[in-house]
Amino acid sequence: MAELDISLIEQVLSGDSEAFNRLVQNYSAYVYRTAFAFLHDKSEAEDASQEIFLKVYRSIHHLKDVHVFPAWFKKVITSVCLDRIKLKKLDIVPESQIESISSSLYNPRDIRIEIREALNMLSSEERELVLMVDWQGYNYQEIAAILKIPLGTVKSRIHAARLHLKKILSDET
Amino acid sequence: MGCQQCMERISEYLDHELSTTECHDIEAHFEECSHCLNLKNELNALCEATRLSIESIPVPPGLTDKIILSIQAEKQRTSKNQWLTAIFLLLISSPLLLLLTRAFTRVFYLLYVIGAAIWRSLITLLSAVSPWFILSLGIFSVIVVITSTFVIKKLIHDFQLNEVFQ
Ligand SMILES: [Zn+2]
Repeated sequence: MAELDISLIEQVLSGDSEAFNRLVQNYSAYVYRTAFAFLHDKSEAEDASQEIFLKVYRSIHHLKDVHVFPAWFKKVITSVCLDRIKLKKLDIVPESQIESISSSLYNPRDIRIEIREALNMLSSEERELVLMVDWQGYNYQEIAAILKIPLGTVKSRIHAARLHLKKILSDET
Repeated sequence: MGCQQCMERISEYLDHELSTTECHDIEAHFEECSHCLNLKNELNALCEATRLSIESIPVPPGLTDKIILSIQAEKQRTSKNQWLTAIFLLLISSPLLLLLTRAFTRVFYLLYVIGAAIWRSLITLLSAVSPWFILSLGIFSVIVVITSTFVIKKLIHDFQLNEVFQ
């Protein structure tokens, strides 16, 4: 996440609407990338980004302390993405189609795109865990609380997810 | 520590989830086992590469503007809703107010008469007692006023008006 600007959050809390626009400018890329990593769909990630900022806009005024903003903001992002994944599971799109389109568009030798494709081939539970720990920087305790699963399960599943990701990547090359 | 145990805990080690002694144990194993050390290095590189791959996700142009527009639409929607609620409340309450106006003036007049009577009897009572009693009565009433304003302020603070409107 971009460096937190405490004074900007203070301005937002004081009701400065220009400050909220600046907040969107500073964090929209981070929010979109996180949403895309979770959802692996452009329009879905755009919708999720809008939803996240609307949620922030509606409830940022309830924050009592500016310093809790980063953790709170991260929670909003995670909960919107996880909720959308739950909904997505109900109507599954043919994923193979998406993969073939995107891999034909890019240079397949680009490791960064290969990893994104490999992430998409993980189960949604595995992907959630990898993103929460490696990208969002949650610790195991926080993940256990958010996903409501035991700490031991978090430990073993994160490790298994990484090994699975490593296997997908070594099978591709 | 054996290889099996070590391999199971590599992710915890990389995520700084192990205690200091557990860290020492696993590092000691890495010193003597190149297989586990390699796996650790590979997973570490994979985590770093995952971060970089997400960092490089292209952001669609105009995303920021879209988000700002959706927030402006929300703003207009809520202010419109607030006006509608206010008008609605006024419309509902106006016939009631009209009905009550005659009764209200009577009640106010009655209150005024009672108040004036109490005030007059208080003045005659106070002129009869000692000035020390009056002073302590004054202090007592100041304390009552301060505590009651404090309580009312707290009540108003806890009650959030915008939640009612939303
Ligand atoms: Zn070993």
